[in-house]
Amino acid sequence: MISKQEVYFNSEAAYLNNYRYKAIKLPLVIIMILLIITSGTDAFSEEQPEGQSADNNTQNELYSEQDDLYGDEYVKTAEQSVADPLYWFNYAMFSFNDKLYFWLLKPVAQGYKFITPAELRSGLKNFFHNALFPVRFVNTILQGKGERALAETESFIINTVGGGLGFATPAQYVFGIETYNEDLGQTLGRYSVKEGFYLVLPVMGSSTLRDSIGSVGDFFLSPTTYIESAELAAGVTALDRINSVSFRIGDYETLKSAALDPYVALRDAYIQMRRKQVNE
Amino acid sequence: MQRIFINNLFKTIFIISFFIISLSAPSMLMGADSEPERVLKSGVDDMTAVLNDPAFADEAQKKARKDILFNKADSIFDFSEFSKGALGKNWERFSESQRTEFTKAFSRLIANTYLAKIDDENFQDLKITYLKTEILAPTKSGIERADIASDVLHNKVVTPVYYRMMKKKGGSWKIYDVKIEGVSLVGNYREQYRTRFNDSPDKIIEEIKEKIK
Repeated sequence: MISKQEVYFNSEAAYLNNYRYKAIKLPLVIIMILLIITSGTDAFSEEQPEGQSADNNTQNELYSEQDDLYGDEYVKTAEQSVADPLYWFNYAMFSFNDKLYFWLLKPVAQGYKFITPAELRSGLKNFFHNALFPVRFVNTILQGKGERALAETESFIINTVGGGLGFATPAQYVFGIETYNEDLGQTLGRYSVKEGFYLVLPVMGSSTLRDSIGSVGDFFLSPTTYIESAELAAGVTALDRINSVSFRIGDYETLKSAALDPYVALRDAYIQMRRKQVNE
Repeated sequence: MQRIFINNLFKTIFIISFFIISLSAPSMLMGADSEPERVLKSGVDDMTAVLNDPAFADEAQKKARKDILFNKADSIFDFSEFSKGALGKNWERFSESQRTEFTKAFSRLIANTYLAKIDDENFQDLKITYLKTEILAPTKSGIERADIASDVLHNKVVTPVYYRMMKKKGGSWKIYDVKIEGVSLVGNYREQYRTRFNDSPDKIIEEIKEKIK
């Protein structure tokens, strides 16, 4: 015999489920469409901007005569640069992010670093890393990396139980389990989805079409997405960002001061880093 | 009842994971270091010794320390190969004297930016773990090559650093590229110089000199 109240709850649950399903369906459709588009944008990645393609053959000849110290890398680097059709938009966003870093992010992170004990900062860093377990787990599975999925699970269980919700990392310093950053952008790369083109997002920074689509997917696996209060979610996200910047103050400055063209240096560093992550 | 079951489950997971981990842990048997690894280690140890030397702690000594570090770096890095790789095919357009001049300025630029960074940090807690050495096939002209992977722990952040080393005939092992988190330093400059085929070598040299002033 079902009481009236139960019926009420059941229908409410059904309503909520339905609501949530609808909320997720639209982004999923968008992702699918974008995926189909990117798989068709091979033309973009093979396009050599600024008339480089014509020089490819001569370049190979040059280096075959010369020492092949970098092995095939000279040949590879001839096509290494990513297509950048949105250069002016990207450059504007790069300048915006640059100002954002120097005027807001860096001073806030410095102040935060000054008043927050190092132990708490690294505890928080571990906590945020641990909380993103679903993203890494799903993506290792999607990439068929069974051993890593197991390692992630072990690490998550040990650190959540034994490390106080992941603030400490006994899985790493006692058991030596390695975890890797995996995300949907890398998974797509694994499935031979091309980068598409370089994209600089406001606040988020360097990305590519593929990686941006990936981060939309990862968004649904990220626990912060399911925090009900929007203010709290924003606060948690900001804390995560400020906390992680507090460990890397000075790195961006070094890259910038060593570079002849900071925009190109950053673009190339991002692309090189992502290609390495996809391959490992 | 359920509680006991959960307790047991955790225990089992714990024990099983412990065994899996201990089995997969890297073997403790370490062979003798290969030659490039030995050269790299002694070079890096040399530099960190200078960094941690209390004799250079006060401000007045910093300049002297920088010069010592630069000389040590110069003996372990092959800056001429760095420059050649950085300029990519632009290298062909440089005359012999322009190449020397570029190399001199470029090595200073690298040293200035990275040694300056080292200068304002405390390097007591720097820890380098050498992971593996891969001996590559020598090039056609007989240059021996090796890639050495390492993890650098500093400031509670682990950064994978990859050293690419080479040995010319009659020479010694030297670093010709460094990859930090998969980003090749030389490759990064090559990308920046890729579109500079219209600029004269003198202009390119002048630009670097301007930066190291």
